[in-house]
Amino acid sequence: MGMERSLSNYVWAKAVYDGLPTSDQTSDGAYSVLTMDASTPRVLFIIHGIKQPTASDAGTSDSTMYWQVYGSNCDAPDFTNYTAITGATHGIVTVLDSAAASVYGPYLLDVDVRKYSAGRIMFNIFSSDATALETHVVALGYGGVVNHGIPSSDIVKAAA
Amino acid sequence: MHNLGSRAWVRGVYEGQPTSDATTSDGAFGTPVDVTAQNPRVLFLIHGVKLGYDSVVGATSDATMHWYIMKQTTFAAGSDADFTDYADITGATHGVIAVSSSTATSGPYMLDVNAIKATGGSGSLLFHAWSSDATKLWVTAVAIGYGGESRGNDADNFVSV
Repeated sequence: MGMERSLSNYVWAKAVYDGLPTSDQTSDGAYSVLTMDASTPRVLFIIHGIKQPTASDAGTSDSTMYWQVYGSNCDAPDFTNYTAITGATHGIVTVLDSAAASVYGPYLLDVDVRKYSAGRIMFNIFSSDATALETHVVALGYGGVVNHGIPSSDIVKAAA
Repeated sequence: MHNLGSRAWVRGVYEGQPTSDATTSDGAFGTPVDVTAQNPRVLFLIHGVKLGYDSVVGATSDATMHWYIMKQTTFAAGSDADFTDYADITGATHGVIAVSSSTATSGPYMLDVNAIKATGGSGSLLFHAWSSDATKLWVTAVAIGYGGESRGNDADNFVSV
């Protein structure tokens, strides 16, 4: 599971993005791939701390940030192997330059992975201005029904 | 508690079978969560609520679980937390979950707490759960601390807990 951190109760957590999203929707630097298993069929994304980065770097106009979740059964973690998931799996926030000191969020996005993808999902974020917005994104894999009619062999904990 | 790279942490606060004692049972509440300026918000995620565990899988009657987020009222640095040190937080900081024997599972439930406001800026938060039947329900709860604001603050103010 790469950088994910396992918890004791069939949950893992990972920081999936921390920085200034680019303005390129397909940029490698703007997305993070997560692998699912039976023990964590849901993933909760928390997008928080959205703001103009510093007073000196702040943009001089309004900026908009977009995020979306993609699904794929392909093992190759390349942006082109993923397709957008329709429905409530995306968000948009506009940060007003007139409110430069403001912080936006949190925004929560809860995805039932089994409904969309049997393998991997990808979190993608991009901005209307690559230098104007900073954000932090955390993902939490959870939701496994432990030892309730499911063979223990099907409930493998995510690796540390 | 695990630090995440984006000014956030996560920890499991409860996993097991809540007792039927609503007030004093040590086994019915999770590990306290400290509140700091770095993570002024704490999101509690309660999931995997289900009937039965091990020998009682397949319980045939409904059961109800109550859960609360409590605040520490007696702050003693370095001492072990005790249930009596905590009090209910008024407002939307609790929930009631009825699990039907016909569906067997319920959840997830999320509760996002402004921890600074709830505690007055210091102390800790506590997840507490109790059940109508101490043998019937299983639950898992996770807490995520997040929401720290870096603008205008020295980096030293954001040491992860």
